[in-house]
Amino acid sequence: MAAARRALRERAPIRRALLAALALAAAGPAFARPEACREIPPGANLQQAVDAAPPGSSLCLAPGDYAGPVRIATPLTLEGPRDAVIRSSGEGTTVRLEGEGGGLLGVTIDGSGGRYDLLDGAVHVTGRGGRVEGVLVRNAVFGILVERATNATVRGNHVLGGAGQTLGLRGDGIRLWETYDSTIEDNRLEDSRDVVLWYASRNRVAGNRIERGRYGAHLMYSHDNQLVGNRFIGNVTGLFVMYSRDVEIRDNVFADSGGAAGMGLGVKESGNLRVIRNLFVHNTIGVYVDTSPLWPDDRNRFEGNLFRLNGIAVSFLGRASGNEFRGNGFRDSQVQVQVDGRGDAREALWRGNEFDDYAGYDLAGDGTGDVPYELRSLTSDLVAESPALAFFRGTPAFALAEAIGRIVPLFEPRLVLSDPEPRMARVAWEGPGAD
Amino acid sequence: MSKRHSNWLRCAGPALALASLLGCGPGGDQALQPTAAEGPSASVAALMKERGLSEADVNAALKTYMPTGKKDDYYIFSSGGQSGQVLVIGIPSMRILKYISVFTPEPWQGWGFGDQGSEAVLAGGDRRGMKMRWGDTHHPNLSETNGDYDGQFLFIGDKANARMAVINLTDFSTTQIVANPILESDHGAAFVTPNTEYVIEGSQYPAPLGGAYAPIEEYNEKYRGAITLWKFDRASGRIKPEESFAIEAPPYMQDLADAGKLDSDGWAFVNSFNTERAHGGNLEGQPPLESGASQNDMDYLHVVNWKKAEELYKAGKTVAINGFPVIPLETAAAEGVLTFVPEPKSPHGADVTPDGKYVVVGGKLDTHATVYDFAKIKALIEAKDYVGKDPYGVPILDFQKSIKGQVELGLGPLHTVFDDKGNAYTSMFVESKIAKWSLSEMKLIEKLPVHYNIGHIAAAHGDTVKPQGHWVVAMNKWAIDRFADVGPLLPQNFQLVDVSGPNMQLVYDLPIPLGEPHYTQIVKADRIKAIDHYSPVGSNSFSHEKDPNAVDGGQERIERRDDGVHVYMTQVRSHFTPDIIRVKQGETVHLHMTNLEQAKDATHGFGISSYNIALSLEPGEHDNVTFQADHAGVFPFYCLEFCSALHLEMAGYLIVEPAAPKVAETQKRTGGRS
Repeated sequence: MAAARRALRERAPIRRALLAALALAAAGPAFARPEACREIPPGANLQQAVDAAPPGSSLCLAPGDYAGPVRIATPLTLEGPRDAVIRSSGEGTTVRLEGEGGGLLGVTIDGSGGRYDLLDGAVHVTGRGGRVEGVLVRNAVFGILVERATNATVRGNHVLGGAGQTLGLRGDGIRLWETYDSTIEDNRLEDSRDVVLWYASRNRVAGNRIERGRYGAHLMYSHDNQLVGNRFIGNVTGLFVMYSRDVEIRDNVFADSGGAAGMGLGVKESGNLRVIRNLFVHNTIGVYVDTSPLWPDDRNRFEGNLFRLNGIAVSFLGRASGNEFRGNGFRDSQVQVQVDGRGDAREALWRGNEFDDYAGYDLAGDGTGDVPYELRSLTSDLVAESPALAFFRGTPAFALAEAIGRIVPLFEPRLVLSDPEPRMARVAWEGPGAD
Repeated sequence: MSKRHSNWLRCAGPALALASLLGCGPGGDQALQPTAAEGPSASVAALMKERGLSEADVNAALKTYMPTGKKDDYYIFSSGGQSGQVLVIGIPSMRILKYISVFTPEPWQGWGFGDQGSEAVLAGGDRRGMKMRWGDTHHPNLSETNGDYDGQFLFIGDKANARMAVINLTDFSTTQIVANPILESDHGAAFVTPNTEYVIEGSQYPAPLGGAYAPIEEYNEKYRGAITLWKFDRASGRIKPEESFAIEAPPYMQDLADAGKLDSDGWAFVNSFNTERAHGGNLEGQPPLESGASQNDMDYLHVVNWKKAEELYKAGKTVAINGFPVIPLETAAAEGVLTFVPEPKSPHGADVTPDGKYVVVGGKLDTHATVYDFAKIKALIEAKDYVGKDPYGVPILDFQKSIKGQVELGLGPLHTVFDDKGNAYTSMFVESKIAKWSLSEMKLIEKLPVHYNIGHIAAAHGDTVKPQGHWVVAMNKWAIDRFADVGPLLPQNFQLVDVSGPNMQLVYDLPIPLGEPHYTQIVKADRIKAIDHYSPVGSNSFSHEKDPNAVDGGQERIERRDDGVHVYMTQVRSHFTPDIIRVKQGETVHLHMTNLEQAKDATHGFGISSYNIALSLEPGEHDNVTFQADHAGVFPFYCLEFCSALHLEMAGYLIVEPAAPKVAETQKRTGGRS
């Protein structure tokens, strides 16, 4: 218990750092305003103005209300300040950006229709190279949908989801479907359902803050994507990567996915992931690895990540082979590594990781422990077969069982993993916003 | 501290000594605790150590092990997938009890290797004049009386060829196959109404109905799905196609179905996916079908008023498509037969709760199970309170107004079954887990890892009005590392889970090595009233009456008639009478064979070399075979079942005398020597 309290205290600086980073992001990024544009006064018929504008031109909105929906079928840029508000009629999608290279910049989109089955949303981008930047979305079922729009840019937007709704009744904040070579950057999403990348490859998802959603981000059949410097806070699942290969996951924060299905990063049947310098803090499971990688020569590399205060830092379903853990820090988790289904994690490669329960020494003074770190567990065996026993994690009763397991060689405590070169020094996390 | 915690502490504490081992673990039973530290407990402990077993393993073994002669408490009737068959498995032992041959010929049961009865059943499933001899069985459904299994019949659909089979559970034998005259594939099959008035068969992949042609560019206009209601006549044990009909549906991919019960009796619920109407074309600039089909956020739960549909059918408000009566889509929409409610995309199960008040739907890519409230749906339909219509005019209800709520379960909820304590068990495909949750509290209780990629889930009477609890079976699509290596094609993995205690316990892994099973149903063993022989002797196994060609002992004979040679043969341990059959090349041979035995398990098989004939004559059974003796030669026949000590001697000869040979052929055969 004391350990838990201490751990909670230590969590505070991380929280503060995150908040500081958030404040920075909220200031709003600058986007290139159109050089020349036609002013459209509030209350004007926006659709008529759009239809009348020559392709390639820009329309500027002023503070005030504009009636949606509006469909922009040509390469046209619609720009305005945050208090220029395009309001939903209560039906359908509010702004459709269909022209190649069209843009929607700076304005607020208020509302959408209520039909989930029709994907009623604030903004729907289908034009190649479409840009949605600096937009505030509120009261809409879906936020920003990008479908079959290569080279799209979604940057610096703020999507407010349905905080009053249960998770299942909210729409996606940002959704990329069959979308390639696009940039999703510096957006802030609150209380929306998912950020979705489906059948969407070679995209860059960077610097976003995604909180209190269902899937912070969900990748399915989406390869060669980069997820860098994002903050996934308080989502049911931070990031779930499914049936995808060659994904870079670097410098992200995965925090507070603490529910029954809570996991920072979940990996299902995916390979060649590079999971580097992320912070996994206060999740039910930090990283969940489900039969990954699946292709024989694929490797998933976990390097320099810091696991703090997770129920289970790393959990495998089935075999652990093909996964490599180098230089990660494992601290203050109730279980370091667990394997469901009777396996162990010895087939994974473990080198130079820091474990807070390492009881060895470094007489050689080379920064590496002189004896291997070995994680043995009787209790995880029991827990794997009788999940109710998870109740005892971290309690004296459980520690007692562990101790008895060690003393009475009735069942030899199972070797879960061995790191022949345990790291003595603490792994520092140097991602954005951390001290 | 609850009892189970204190129990665990007792086990985990200093009392963790050999003598108490068997009394510990989940569901630990004090009675199992040995009285002395010596004896069995010591040997058990040694065994445990030697085999690396934990106390939970021993506990699981004790729950499932069946000593010889002891019989199982439940039957599992499982789809046999691409094998086209049905598997029968016992619980708790998980011993495979039988494969029932259905759509695919199978020689042990003499299914489709000459016997006229089985050939006729198989021919019932032929399509467009083509001999169909495989099937992809998906969802078995037991016949029901008042919403609970009555153990009399089993129905199973063939997804690949849109066919429905009826299995008689007195002799575990398929008695009828009907080919759907308007569909090319099905998936929502079979699902029975609460008194087995109808067997529901819903389509899967849209196509022009009735086998017509239309270019795929006319997908939206010409392609359709349908929900077929096959009329079942319990007295004759047969589907009556002439009293059956279908309801036309839009070209979405209709998926699993369930019939309403109690409060929702008279209704049926059918899932769908691909309301996007994607139809592929990935070499033609379109997204692949799978991607196109998951573009939208929601699909439509089809709410079907089948009682109303029956009225329309009886009133003649149908059109004939390929001779089959179909209620047109516009009629179904206008008359309230078909209504849509949005559902989370790519759903799988549409599972009616035991009280019939709710329908649970999982979305494969969702994290919630959605619980629809039938009373709300009914009220909205009655008030015509729609939010819109689909492109085909089918009214759509408001999602939020139609549901009781959503329960957060985890990743990829799929299919839900129920126990006797108000709990639901949902398979979680993405997460490879079973989620147990409370229906009344709409709250997750516990999750159990399974291995791997669980598809369907089944519970004892778990989809009826009276679930029995105790056992749940996880049907896992992948086995990966669970069994000894057998090459790249791996078996599926059925995992038996004991849900009788406060915590779920995984107790057995059963590889399924022939076909990929889909759904199963679990029925209490005492509901099955199986016969162990056919009576009277000479019974036809399809009519269960004495066959007109039955042969009584002493009446064996060979008769030559205009239509060929009739051989009236009997089998009894251990001889065939007659045991020599002489015919001339080119003659038609009619074998009429009766197994005179009435003794349990005294089955005789009958196989003739080179003529592709294999029969199973169970005690008292009569079979008829007709074939052309086209090949001259000497063909041994013998009993295929080891029937007695003189089984090997149970044999005979088919002597086919050559037709008058041409001179040239004689020379060729004798190598020119004379």
